[in-house]
Amino acid sequence: MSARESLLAFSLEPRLLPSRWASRASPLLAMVVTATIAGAMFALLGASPLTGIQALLLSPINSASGMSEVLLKASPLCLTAIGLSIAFKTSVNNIGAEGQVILGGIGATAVALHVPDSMSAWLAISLALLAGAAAGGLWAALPAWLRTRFGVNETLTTLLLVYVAVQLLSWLTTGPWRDPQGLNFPETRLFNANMTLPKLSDMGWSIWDGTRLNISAFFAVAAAVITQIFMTRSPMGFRLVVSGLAPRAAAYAGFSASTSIWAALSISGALSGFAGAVEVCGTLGQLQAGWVPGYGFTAIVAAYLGRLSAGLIVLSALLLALIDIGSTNVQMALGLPSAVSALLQGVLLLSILGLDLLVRYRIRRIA
Amino acid sequence: MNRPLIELINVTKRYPGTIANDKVSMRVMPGAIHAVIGENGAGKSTLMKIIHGSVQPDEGQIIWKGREINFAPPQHMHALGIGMVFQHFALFEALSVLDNIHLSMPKEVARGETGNRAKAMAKRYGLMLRLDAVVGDLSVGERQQVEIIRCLLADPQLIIFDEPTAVLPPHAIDGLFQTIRSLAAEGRSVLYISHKLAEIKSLCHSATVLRGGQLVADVAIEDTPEQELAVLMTGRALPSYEHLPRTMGPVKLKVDRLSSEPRSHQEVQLNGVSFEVRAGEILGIAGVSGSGQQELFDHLSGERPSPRDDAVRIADTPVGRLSVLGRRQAGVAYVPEERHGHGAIPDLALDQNYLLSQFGTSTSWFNAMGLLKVESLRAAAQGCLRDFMVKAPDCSVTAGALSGGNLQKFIVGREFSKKPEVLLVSQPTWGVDIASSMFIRRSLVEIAASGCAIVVSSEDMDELLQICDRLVVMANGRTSPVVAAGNMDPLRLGLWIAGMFDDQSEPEVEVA
Repeated sequence: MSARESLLAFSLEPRLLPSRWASRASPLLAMVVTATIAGAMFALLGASPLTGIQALLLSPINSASGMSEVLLKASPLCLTAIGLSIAFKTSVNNIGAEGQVILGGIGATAVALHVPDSMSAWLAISLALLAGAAAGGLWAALPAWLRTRFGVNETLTTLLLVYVAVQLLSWLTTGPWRDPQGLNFPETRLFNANMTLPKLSDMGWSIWDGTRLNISAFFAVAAAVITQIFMTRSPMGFRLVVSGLAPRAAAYAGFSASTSIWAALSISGALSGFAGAVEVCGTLGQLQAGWVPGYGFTAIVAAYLGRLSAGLIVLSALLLALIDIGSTNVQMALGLPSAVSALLQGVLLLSILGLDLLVRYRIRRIA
Repeated sequence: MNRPLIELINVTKRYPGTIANDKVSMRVMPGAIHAVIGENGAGKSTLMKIIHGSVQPDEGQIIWKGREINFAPPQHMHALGIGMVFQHFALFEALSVLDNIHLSMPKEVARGETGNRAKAMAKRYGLMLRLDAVVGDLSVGERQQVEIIRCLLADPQLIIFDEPTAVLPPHAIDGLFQTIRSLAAEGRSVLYISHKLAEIKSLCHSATVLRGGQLVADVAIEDTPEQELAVLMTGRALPSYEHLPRTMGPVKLKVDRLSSEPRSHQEVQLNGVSFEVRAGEILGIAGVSGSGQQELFDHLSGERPSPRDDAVRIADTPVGRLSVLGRRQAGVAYVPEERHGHGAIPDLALDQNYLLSQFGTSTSWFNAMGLLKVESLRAAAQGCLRDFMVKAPDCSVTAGALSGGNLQKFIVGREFSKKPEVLLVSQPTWGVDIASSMFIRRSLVEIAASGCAIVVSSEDMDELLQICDRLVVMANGRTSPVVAAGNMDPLRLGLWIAGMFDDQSEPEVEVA
């Protein structure tokens, strides 16, 4: 062995036990790494790093309206990511949440356009949200059927169905559901008042006066709590966890593999569909052909960032929403391009994954 | 005076939380067959990996032919003349024997030359070698011979055999021993890793005994009775077994001409498997692993339902077409061979693992809201840890953190807790330390005495003879006639294991 080799040779050795300290600290460290890289990037682009980081991380949350925007962005992201975490824990690769979100929006719109104004708001909105969840769940059940019946890999089918969903959205908004008074814009008419999610400011929360914040944040928190209980204490949750960890042990326990696949995909699809319905009945108030939620994909990041645990996903969704809005502020404050947002999300995910490696392995120099 | 071929002085290797080797010293003379004895976890494997070069010691010296060598990677040790035959073969199943051997040769050796050398080597040591056979089609014994030839082609002076008989059928063991003896007769040294004392007694000259990572003794085999080796290895004497007098009840499990359709070419096709087990009885299934035992257990547990409902009967109820849950309801409990990922999930806590095989039983672990009764599950799991002497702080530790023996005791306890009518146990003490093995065997006998019918499959004949009332042998997916354990003689066993039981008085089985 030459001297040069021996100086540069490193190897990864698995740790016998994952480092507990590192596993707790790694998300925080990842944020520090991300902030450092962001600062360096701002400096390279000729802007002040401190101003940049301030715009990125602090400006979005120093006012009620800023916070409301972060929460509005985080809620559907969180709902979708929680659904995905259930699929991922079952080792079912649902990467088509984007399409399931769109179908959720379409399902909610189908109700919204056909329900009379006279119906009570609570009933009407519940119907719309349920229809959204059902549409998203059915959309995701399609890959479940293909997988269990024909053995088609769900990674591919869930993804491909996203493009079908986009076409469906485009057809509906330019065809049967187009607003006749809409000057030919590819969008539906605005929903009636009984079809829009109540805003917190209208419910007497004066600190949110003047903001768009609606009750979607409560849905996200409720979904996190229910999912946590479902996964840790219900028979179906146990079955999904077991199927994801060890298919043979699942067979030993008496759990059928196809039931787990159906359940994992339908539940995650339903939560994505619910998120889409929340978005359409909340901030949008109508269905538009150009509606590209995007968070169907970001939710994959959010789910892994939150280590597939519902509680942590609430935090990771908030963080990603913060960075997303912060990046817009950076664009304005420093005149940087819009790619900054995607770039920073990527850096954050890579730092998390890199640090996770160190939780399970240690670097050892080969002497 | 002869100089040792290799000498280890105070070799220490630490892993987080444990010391695998604690100041271990050892010397191997040229031409010696030197045993390294110890229970699972005694540090044998780590020590061998250090000699082989794949693990670096933290302290200590390795002296090779009088010269100290620094830690070097396996290639370097290989070049020095150290070869190893691994317990788990590193062969490409899809390639031919010749290709597998050729891959490990230096680049400049032509393929034809490899073939010639391999053939010569095989002839010299009396090994069977079919160069053009695909490794995937070979038996375990033949694969081992390919590994041995591959190792010998490098002309090693020290050859490490890591538990070579663990995977071998009994009739292949003699051949292996002859090969090892002729290697030693040529002046090569052999390091023989095992915990099977009878083998060591018949094969080896000297032994290093390890316990808990520490050197316990260096002994000459001739002067040391087997019993004493056992005491050195385990720190206690092997107790003798006694057959508890048991009363046999009615037939609890009846397997009638069970046949299967293999789903892949690696699966063994079951062909007319028939036997019955009575309450209070332990039926042993002997045979080389891979003779259909796994497929049989899959069909008995319900992981693979059978086409015919009356192929399997539990207490006279046909269950052949029932799933795992249905069979569990009928009273079947099962301890699979593979603990990690089949009988238990390493990443889950013990209480969750306890829950794993409770679905379908009459006890409900979920309350009226459909939520898990965490406290009663914990209490039950905790009770299982206590009753089966599982060494674990509590039931919140993961199954993966337990040693093989402790996890196996936990699984046996969990299955017994369901008060089964029929208990299926595959390889009860595979990879289990001696103390836990004894405990598990005793537990099985007690469980049978409580009125359960038990089917045990094991490759360890001594184990079967100790605990079973009757024996059946599996070969090529078929079962031999059933005989009382006391009536099984070695000759008949050998023939049956090789699949030769057709000439027995047993009527030819009909096709299902």
